[in-house]
Amino acid sequence: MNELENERYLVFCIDDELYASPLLDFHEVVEMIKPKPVPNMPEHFSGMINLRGVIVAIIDLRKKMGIAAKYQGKQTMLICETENGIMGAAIDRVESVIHINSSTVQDVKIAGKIALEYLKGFVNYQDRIITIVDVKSFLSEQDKQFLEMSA
Amino acid sequence: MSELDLEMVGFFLEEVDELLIKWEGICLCLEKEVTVDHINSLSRIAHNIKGSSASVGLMKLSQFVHLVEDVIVEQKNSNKELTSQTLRMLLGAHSQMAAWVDILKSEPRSEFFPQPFMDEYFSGQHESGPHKTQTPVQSIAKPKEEIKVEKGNETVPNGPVVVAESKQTTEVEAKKSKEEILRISTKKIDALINLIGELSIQQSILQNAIENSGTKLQGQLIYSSLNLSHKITKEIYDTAFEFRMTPVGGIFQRLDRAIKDLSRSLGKDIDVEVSGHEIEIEKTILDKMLDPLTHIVRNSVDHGIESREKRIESGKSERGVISINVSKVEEGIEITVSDDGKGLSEKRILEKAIEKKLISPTASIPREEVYALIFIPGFSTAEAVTNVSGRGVGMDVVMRTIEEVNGKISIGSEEGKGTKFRITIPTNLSIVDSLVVSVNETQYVLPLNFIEEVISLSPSFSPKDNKFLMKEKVIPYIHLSEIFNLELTQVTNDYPVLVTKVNGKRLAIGVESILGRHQSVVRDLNTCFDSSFAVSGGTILPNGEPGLILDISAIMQKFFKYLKTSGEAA
Repeated sequence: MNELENERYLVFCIDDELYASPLLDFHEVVEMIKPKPVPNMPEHFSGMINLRGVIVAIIDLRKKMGIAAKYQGKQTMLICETENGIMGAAIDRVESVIHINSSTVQDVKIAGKIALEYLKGFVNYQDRIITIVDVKSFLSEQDKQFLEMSA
Repeated sequence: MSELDLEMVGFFLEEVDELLIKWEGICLCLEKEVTVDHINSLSRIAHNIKGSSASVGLMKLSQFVHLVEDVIVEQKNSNKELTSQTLRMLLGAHSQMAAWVDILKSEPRSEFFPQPFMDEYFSGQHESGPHKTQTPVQSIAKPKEEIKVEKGNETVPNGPVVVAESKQTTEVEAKKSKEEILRISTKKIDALINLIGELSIQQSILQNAIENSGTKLQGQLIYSSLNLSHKITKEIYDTAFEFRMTPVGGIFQRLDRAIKDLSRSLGKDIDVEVSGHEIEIEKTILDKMLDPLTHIVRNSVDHGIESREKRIESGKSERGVISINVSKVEEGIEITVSDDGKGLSEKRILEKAIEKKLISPTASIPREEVYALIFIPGFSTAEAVTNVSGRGVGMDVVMRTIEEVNGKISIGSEEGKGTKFRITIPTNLSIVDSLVVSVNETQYVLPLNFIEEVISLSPSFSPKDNKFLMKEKVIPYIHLSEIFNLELTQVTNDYPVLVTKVNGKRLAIGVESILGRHQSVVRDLNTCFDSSFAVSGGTILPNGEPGLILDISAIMQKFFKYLKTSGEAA
């Protein structure tokens, strides 16, 4: 499942850093709608939106990764279906869709903003580093943390 | 043994569920009256199960059903009276198959071991079989089986949609309708309902926009057309919604069976009277009601209805009666389960409650609330826990399950005459009549059925230390902003307070303003909302925004825990 062959990736940007996740993990990309607040939730939980009749929980990836809340213009939401239901990740913007060959992924484990569990490696793309991250699991795993927090 | 095709097994299990329900229904009919039609239906069902189980590779199940089918065919050909032993075997076979199907649902490759009593019946049958009835029975059955296996293949669908022809239904069903039945997964229906709901929200938004735009001439045409499309959408919605509904009759049969099984083992004669089969309710609610209702009827059989001797002693008819009636009421449907047994003893309930320290010995409790004590966890009036009704779940679980579906339960009883449980449940869980309130510029939804009263607090009538006095009663009080740790945007001395009541306990909840009533369509919430403890679901508000439906009983629990009081306000 985690085999990274010549797959299509969605490249997105948070705080001028590039990240990529398998394109097929995402349902759609939607323009940011201001989420409605939900009380008693962790800070990186922005709230919820109505996406054509479905209530979608929105996670602010920027906050989740501990990046200062310096929003550059309008944010974008990546909608994906996690094991806990449909969730949205608020990011700065979508860059592009590229093909990444698994052999070019450098599996260097660097403890950074993303837990190693979700860090799938790095790619050198046009002299920029793209961090490959499993956003789908990242979103649903957060949820487990919330539950522990509230328990 | 043939390979198990897991997908096919899935379809088979869906199909067999229905067949088993029919099987049980016929057995219960046979108990009252033996007709050729019923025996024929039963044999057809057995055949069907045998064939389709074989076709998906469940050979053991197929062989098991084959044995049972032999008995049915023998019965059919012999023109003999149906013995109670055979009938018991048929019901027993049903239980075994149902259990087997349940196991298969979670683990399709698991083994099935028929219980010994089945073997006993069969071995006895095979000994007496050959000389009492003609052997051809078996040879008739065999060629049929082959044909059926093929037929079984045909009936196993390729897609999730199954078209079951009325041919397949039993006579019992066929009398009701000759319509073709389409089986569609609830997921697809829910998706459709969601879309229609969303469409109507968009229409409302459009309507608002037109109303506010002020262009009158153009407005009229658009407006009337929009109005019409609104109506159509509503109709489509209602129609789609009905797909989810199912007649309550389906559950009666299982209750009937539970009563029969238990009364037989306790040596009590009990007649079961039912009414209101045809009334429809959302399937998910009906499924949830099975356990609590089973518990209630088993209680009635075990503790309610007296032994034959006692009944004669107290001048009652030998046979006890349990009646289950369903009727439509404003809140949804009302299910009553009543027995003509010995009734509840107020004295004993009070004694028990005091003994178990559930109430204080000096408390004066109105009659109606005395009965409600049996719903408190840890309460059981049965002197010894019998393995019948004292099994695991208690009345507290019954209450909780009913509350889960936003229902209510109450008890009426007269010592010596009987007990009546009255359960009111909504016909659907997907639409909740509710009140939209706002705090800190965010709207929340509160289910109306838990709101007893709406009052307005003024400076002269304001809560201190989380309580205030209303009609000489102390009402615990909290502001919604406190529950959610929100800052109030507007601090006024005059604000509305909703007095909520769950399970006999009251809690007044203050809000900033009440925006109005709303028929909230309940949407599932992502599990990550679980940490927001006071939320039972989500909904789309009239303005198209998502809103949270508050879980009043969770708020109460949290509140009373927080205050470390026992909620004496009841």
